Amino acid sequence: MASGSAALNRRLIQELHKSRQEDNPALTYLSPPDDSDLHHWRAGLRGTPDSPYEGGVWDVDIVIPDNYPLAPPTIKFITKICHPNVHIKTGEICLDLLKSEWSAAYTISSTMTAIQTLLTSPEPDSPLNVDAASLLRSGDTMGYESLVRYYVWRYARKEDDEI
Amino acid sequence: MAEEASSSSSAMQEKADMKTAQELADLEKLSAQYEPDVNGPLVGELQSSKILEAEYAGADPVYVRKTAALSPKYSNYRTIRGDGNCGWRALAFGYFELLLRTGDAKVIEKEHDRITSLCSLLDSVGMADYLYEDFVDETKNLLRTIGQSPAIDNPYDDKPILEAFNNADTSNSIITHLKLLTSAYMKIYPDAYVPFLVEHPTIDDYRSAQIEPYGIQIDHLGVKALIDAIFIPADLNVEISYLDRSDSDEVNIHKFEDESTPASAKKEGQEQRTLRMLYRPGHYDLIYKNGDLAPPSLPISPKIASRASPDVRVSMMLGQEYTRNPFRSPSLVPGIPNSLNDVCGRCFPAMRSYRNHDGTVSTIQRAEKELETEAEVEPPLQTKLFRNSHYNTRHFQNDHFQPEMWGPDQIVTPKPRVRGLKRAFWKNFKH
Repeated sequence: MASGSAALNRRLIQELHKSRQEDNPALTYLSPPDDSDLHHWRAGLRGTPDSPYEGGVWDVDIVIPDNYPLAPPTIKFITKICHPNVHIKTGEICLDLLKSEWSAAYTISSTMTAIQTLLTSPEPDSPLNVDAASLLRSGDTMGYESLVRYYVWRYARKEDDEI
Repeated sequence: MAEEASSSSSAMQEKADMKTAQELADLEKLSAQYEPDVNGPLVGELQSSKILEAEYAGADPVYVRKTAALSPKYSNYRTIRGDGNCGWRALAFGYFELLLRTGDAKVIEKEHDRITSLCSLLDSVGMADYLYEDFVDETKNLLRTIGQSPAIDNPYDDKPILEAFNNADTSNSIITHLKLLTSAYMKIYPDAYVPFLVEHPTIDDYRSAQIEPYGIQIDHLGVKALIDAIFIPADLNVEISYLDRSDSDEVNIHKFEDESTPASAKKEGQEQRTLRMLYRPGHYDLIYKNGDLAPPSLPISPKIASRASPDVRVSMMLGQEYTRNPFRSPSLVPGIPNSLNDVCGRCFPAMRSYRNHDGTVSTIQRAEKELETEAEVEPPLQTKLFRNSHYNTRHFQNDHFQPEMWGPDQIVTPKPRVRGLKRAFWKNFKH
């Protein structure tokens, strides 16, 4: 077990190191809030450009299990976001990659990129936010997009504020 | 009125549908979260394949027939934990076991170098080295372990591999390494696999859904790719025996062999370099043929033999079956006189011709004589499993059924009861 957790820490440090070398355009920051706990990270996720999410930044909580990278990290939105596959209250995310399709070849950083991709390619057939999903399913794109924009304006941090 | 009634009934109907939809969703959630209780070691010890026969004794007749036909051909059986990785774990374990059984340090060293060079395969599909190096290290460590003394001196002792594979970190790292290699191999050589994709539109979808994730059962295409990438270049073969309800008397065997070499060019000893998997729908285990676990004669390593006496060389003829690898315990050799009295010793009635180099009579030879006299007195050994199976002519299901006969001369008269005598003796002292 000791060797396992040593290998895990080594991997996490390397991932952290790499993410600092190569900036991920999907993120405003990515690091553990507390230096003593490598198993708990935070990230700022950028809204995809040219989408109703553009301009917003969401804080995301990342908990890394002991058997990472065999098991996926647990990722939740802290900032409220309106998306068919994100629970509006808990911030839970429904994404294959975070469940059955997780593999050791992913990193925390590449997982965050996948979550940004999810923002613009929602799966309304497996919804966690039924209201947003049913708008999308009924074909009311305009209604859906304005609801998303409202939540961005109301809750998300703004990219411009960061600078 | 009628319209109103019909609209209210359709509303009720809708409500009922909603309810069942909710129930279905709940059930779906439950089934998605379901994890079977898995227990047992990740990779089990060698067992007799009679256990399979016993397991299916009360099952469908097809299974009874097939398991009964299996055990005479395949003497041993090894369980793999059914945690969704059993196919990967069985293949990974078998890979190391086959390499160790070659008993050739050079072969293993060559394989170590090949595995190292295969990292370029991972690089070429765009994986960063820090993502895979921990997994590769575990595979290389185990190859180094089995390529050196003491492991290489006892090629039929599976202990070093068994230990490594029952350490979850090591075992899972090796599986992950093989998964990544298989995935990369499929990406680079997709032509052999693309025609067989069913559910997944592209090879990349297939790789990320079926090959790379941990805990996803290997399917036939994955087995093929893993064998192409790892086993065939190492000159190792794999065959799968399918134990299912298909209509036949024996398990169906599928061999994965190198298709590029013609059958006539096959080298000798291929049987020895074949990994045998037993597939029951949804699960893989390992099985072994009678000859897989030990060659007809095997020189015991000098280290162990030296414990018995300086110059004794023992060559052992192994019997048809045994339930445990006899080479695991080195005490077998120095302790031969003792071991003759236990079941293990009796399983090797063919132990013969122990000679000291100077021709003197050793304790082993004396023990052998003891065994011979013992053999004359005792009826041939029957295991409980054999006695109760239909291979026994005394079993009513045997084709040559012959009931046990008793003659009057065989009736054993009970010995006089000692206690009664004692009582009679004490009677004299009463009063």
